[in-house]
Amino acid sequence: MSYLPSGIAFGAFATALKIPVVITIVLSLFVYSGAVQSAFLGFWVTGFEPFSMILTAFLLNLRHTFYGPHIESERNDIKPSNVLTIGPLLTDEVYALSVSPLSPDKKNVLSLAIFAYANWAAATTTGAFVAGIAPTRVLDILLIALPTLFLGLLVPRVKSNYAVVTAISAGIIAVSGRLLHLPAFFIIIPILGGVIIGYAWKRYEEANKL
Amino acid sequence: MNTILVIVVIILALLSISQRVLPWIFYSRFKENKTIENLFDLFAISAFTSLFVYNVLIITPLTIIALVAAFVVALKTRNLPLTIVTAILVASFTLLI
Repeated sequence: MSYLPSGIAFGAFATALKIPVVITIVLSLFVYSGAVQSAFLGFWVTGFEPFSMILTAFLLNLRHTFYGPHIESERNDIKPSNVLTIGPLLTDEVYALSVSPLSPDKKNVLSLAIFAYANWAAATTTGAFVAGIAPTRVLDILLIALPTLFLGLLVPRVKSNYAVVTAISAGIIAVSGRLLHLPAFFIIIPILGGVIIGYAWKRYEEANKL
Repeated sequence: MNTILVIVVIILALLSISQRVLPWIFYSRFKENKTIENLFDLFAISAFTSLFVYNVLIITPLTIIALVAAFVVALKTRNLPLTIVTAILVASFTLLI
């Protein structure tokens, strides 16, 4: 059910940024990834540089690549034939519930995946249309609140020293890029730079057993 | 509608489904691997930090107050909708006074 408020927020932000409603709905129906769709909003604001957007989407979706195989290895009732039914609807939440000790049976995993998908699509559509009839002042407030979408996605993931190093490194490089007025495609540099520095820090910690 | 925008959306859709489905077709067993999961998480942390920096469009006392309030709520609750609602409420309240 947490998809409802998040989806409404995504749809409303998209409309506040003047993204066509049809694009917002198509993103929810066919991309179906809160992280990638939020990144889409972010790139829209910075000037929409296609190469950086697609590379970032690829990197953000990398975690999805092992969800299906991992679910199958954890459960006896999920078979390779379920790739086409459950596979396209896998999200962080559906995956987490599927491999949890209290996971539902196969039929219910599919029902859960369909329910989550329908929730997300309905919520983003609702958010987009409601924001469409909202006064300009409300849309201005939404634009002020837009960066908090990324804060809300970021903060729960920062659970270790190297995660903090990653966030700070990416932040410093990104701020430098903005202060130097570098073009929109520069945004991929802090994204990759943060990962490289964070990963190097992780290896350093492991080598020195910090 | 902008052709590049449509092409990007199509590519994103194809990426999204292929990254979920193709690895499962070719590799049906995967034992939990925290190292890989942590590495994938770094991509998200780095991307969201950069996008956060690039999406702060106006720096005023109002935006700073809204962002700080949202950050505190995100830190305390780790709840995305609540974080956004906090920022919207604080921004609305500050605009009213």
